[in-house]
Amino acid sequence: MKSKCLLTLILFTFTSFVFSQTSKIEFEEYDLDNGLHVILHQDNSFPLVVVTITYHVGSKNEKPERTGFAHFFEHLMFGGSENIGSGEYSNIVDKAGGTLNANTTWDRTYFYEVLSSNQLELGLWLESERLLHLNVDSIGVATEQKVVTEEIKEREDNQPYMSFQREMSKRAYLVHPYKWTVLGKAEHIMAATEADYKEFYNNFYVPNNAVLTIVGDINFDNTKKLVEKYYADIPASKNEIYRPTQIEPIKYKEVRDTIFDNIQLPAIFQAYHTPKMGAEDYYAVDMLAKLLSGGESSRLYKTLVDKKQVAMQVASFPMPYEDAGLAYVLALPNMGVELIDLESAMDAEVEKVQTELITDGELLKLKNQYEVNHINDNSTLESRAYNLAINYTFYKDANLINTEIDKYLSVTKEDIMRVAKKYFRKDNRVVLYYLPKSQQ
Amino acid sequence: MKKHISIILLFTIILFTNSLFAQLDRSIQPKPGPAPEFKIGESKLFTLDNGLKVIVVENHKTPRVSYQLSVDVDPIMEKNAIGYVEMVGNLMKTGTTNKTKAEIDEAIDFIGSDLDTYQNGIYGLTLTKYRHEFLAIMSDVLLNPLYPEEEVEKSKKQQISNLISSKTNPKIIANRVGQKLRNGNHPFGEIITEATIENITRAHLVKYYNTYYKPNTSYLVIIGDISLKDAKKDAKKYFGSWEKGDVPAHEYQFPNKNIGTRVVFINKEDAVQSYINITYPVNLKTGDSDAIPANLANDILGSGAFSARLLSNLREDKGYTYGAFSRLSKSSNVGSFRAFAQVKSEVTEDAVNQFIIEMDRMKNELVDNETLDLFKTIHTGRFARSLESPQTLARFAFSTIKYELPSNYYQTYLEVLDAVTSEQIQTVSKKYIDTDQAIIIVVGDKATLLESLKKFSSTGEVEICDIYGNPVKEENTTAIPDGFTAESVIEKFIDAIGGKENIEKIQDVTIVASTKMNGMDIKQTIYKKAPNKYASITSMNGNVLMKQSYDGARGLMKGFQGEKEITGDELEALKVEAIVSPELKYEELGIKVSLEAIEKVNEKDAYKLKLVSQSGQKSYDYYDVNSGLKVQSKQTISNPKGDFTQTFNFSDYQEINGVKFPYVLRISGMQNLELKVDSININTDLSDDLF
Repeated sequence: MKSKCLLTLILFTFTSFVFSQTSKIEFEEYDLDNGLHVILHQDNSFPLVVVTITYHVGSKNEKPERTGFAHFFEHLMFGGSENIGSGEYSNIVDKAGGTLNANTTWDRTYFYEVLSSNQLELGLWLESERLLHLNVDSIGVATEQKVVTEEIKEREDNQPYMSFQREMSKRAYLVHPYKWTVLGKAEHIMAATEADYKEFYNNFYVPNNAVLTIVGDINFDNTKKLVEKYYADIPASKNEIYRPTQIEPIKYKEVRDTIFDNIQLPAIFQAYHTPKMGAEDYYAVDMLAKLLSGGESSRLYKTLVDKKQVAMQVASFPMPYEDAGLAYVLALPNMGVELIDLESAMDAEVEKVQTELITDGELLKLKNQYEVNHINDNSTLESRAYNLAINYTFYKDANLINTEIDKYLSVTKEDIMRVAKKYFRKDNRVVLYYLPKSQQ
Repeated sequence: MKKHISIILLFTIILFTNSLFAQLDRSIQPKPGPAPEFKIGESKLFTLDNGLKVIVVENHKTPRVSYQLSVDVDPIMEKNAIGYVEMVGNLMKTGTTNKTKAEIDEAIDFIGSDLDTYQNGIYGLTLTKYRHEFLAIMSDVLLNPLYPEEEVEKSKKQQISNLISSKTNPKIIANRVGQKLRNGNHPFGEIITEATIENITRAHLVKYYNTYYKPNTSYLVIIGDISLKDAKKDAKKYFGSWEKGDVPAHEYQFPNKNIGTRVVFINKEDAVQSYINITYPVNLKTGDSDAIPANLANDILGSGAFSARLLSNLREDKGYTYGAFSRLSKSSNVGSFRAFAQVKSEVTEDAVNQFIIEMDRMKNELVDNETLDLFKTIHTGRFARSLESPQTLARFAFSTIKYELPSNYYQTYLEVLDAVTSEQIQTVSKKYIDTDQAIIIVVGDKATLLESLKKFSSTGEVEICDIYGNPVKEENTTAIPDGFTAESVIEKFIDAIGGKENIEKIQDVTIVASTKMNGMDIKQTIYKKAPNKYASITSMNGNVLMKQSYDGARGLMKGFQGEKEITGDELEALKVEAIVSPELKYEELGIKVSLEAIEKVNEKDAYKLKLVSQSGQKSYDYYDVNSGLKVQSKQTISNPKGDFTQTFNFSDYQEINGVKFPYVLRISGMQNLELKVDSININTDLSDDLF
């Protein structure tokens, strides 16, 4: 009882310390009638503005015979619209001296422009064009099909070890669409038809499935008027938006396999089934991963790389999935080290967390690291725009940008041991050995 | 009264906004408001008594501060121990006279800071409130590194593992070879190999550290939430005791440019993409009068903007690649030009061609005003956006001192940029964008590409190099005798192993072979039965691991994970495997065979046969020119995932029932796997149940 009080006290002083140092990120948010959620954050210290739009669609919303479509569609969004000529989209941003890009995950697709603040209206017009009436010609589609095929080769196939997500996902997920990767299959992309684009666009690229964030050197009144001007009359979709409902069953049997890759040095990839992001245990799992491999004093690094010298590299990280999580633990051996020895050294470290409480010093170290992360993560306009958008998209709580840190700071030593036991079980994981093809 | 007005005002506003919607003409691109002013923040400079130059940029937005230390010395030749200068940097935090590596790591991680040490530099980032703890460690690491023997050995082991893990990475290979060939005898041309790492000793590190790490040739850049006063106090406290000393200077001849265009090829058999890297040395440094127009010229050619010519041509127009770019790197030693892309194999030749066309266009054509203005805008935007980051200001301050730039160089940067003319772009392009003296490096599939690249070379020859850029000895290729075809090679082989008649007498065969893997005994038993049944059982220490079978129609794989049907390319391969002598049945199996060349296998001449299966899978078989026996087989799998080669070597042929079988099968790779045949039995009347 006594020690518990002490802990709370330490935590309390600690948290208050954090907030004495970090200023809260202020923002305003509201919905348009068509369901578009708008978040504004003002920072006039530098004359830039970041305009982002997040669509709540990713590879998990795809059909099994059209994997990779969400990412491919992201490429098409640069094609043009009713009022923007083919291939002109990025030229307009170039001509305004701005920059733009986009990216896709399993769960969402994110687009952004960074512009000088006098170009805010341009950014809003650009995003409204491709939300309201995208218009891609068949030549544009054919070219992007080729480009995406080369992207898949460059990112997954022609790079050592980089097929690991594909190999892991299809073994870890039996029913959930997470079983295919964001890049998907080139043949699915090549097989896509005009009907596919139309359907996808009409289903997912609608204001009631999107979050618009505007961050930087703005004033609220003017910005709200401009948002109204370009977005208010974009019709909402009446269709229900498809979200996969498959529930991945709990696993009680370890899956092991060997992948022969175009590599010279073998590797081990482990993935444990973990709670979805934002779930109660997610934060303790995240912390456990950091305990294992965050920094050179972390347990895996210190033991495997420094002391036993069985590994050249180690890493552990939970993947932020909206529906069902995976935490990766991976290691590359030093030359001549057998994978089996490396794996038992990795497992020994996990077992240690399951059987012994971490020390107070370790817990404090972890919390210090999260405190710094929290500050670093929100240090630029772009990162603030992103965090606000993502927190709303997945949790309907943009203010997590300020409060998520508390969830980490309230994790206890017991929580870490508990999640280690609950999720980091051998019968709850997939283990892949990556071996050189020449050993096949 | 007052109230009344505001209501009217509100009313008009509502009216106004409403009418806006009604009349919103979306076809009109919004015009920008008045351009905001981008101010270049201030930086301050002071020098400690020991000569350390300190640059401070205050930025109080977030409660953190970064420290970057750069040791600014001339490069040196590392000769047979290349890699040690980098290790001097990398290993600084692996132990000091006061602390072990574990203690340093713990202290840094505990306060959530980053501390990286690298070649001639240290970078760290910490919360302002922890800066004293942080600086105590940074200063200890900088002033008292110990280079413990065991850390040196550990690092060598890791670096060798790292080199091995990158051996199949085309980008790393192409860049490394480019660096070597471009820089020639200059220290920048020295590249790390496993052998040079082996030669590194602790003494190399200690000597370099003692000679070159001095405050009087170093810079410390402090950025963040700290006052100038505190920064000064800290610098004195933590770096004031660093003792100054004379640092040797070195001068090198600028690498010779090529005479003519070189084409260098590095083989990656059956690669699905080719990596193209066009490169040469460039004599250009920050502050040169050419620097700004040359940057702009390179932007037009190969920046990341979609309107840049390389990206617009190779990606947006042709769909050859995910990205094609060029980089012009300035340096006070040897700068470089690089143009690069990873392209679909089949289009390699045209991709190189398009690179050359775009590069030559920069020299031969005046850039039109619209393009010039567009790229000035892009460049201006990038410059302006970069000013948000305090790192940019620090870099400006650093360059101003190091390159002795006029104090208003960056203040006037955009004015100078804006004044650049098309003629200037052409002049600098002629100087710095040069296909006539370039080295064109291609990492790709030699078999299909080599011939097509010859036309780009001034000599008409393509130089073949290994992954470290060393010339691969031109094998004195023997010409294929006139009239000799793939069929002749196969005929000779059939005769050599015992003749068609003897082979056709074989109704079934049982081969038992064994090997050791990871310390365990692996046994493989293969059964084949005419006309086309096959089974293979793999066991480890007596336990069956896997069974593969093909009954003439269906392929099955049984293992721990249960049963799985074999389909697709794997099934195709199994069908061939199921035949006792597939060489006799190539036509029936739909396999196309062609005689490619005579190449050396284990230093002996061998005929190289290319086999293409019905589904397009390629493989190569090698038959000894003298004995006629098959000595090697290279299996190449090239589905999108594929792009790899596995090599089988056959030797120790022994005769059973008048037919010769290889008794040793060596599969090459990092760990050489050798399968030895224990027994071969023929015509034992195998039961169909086996399959």
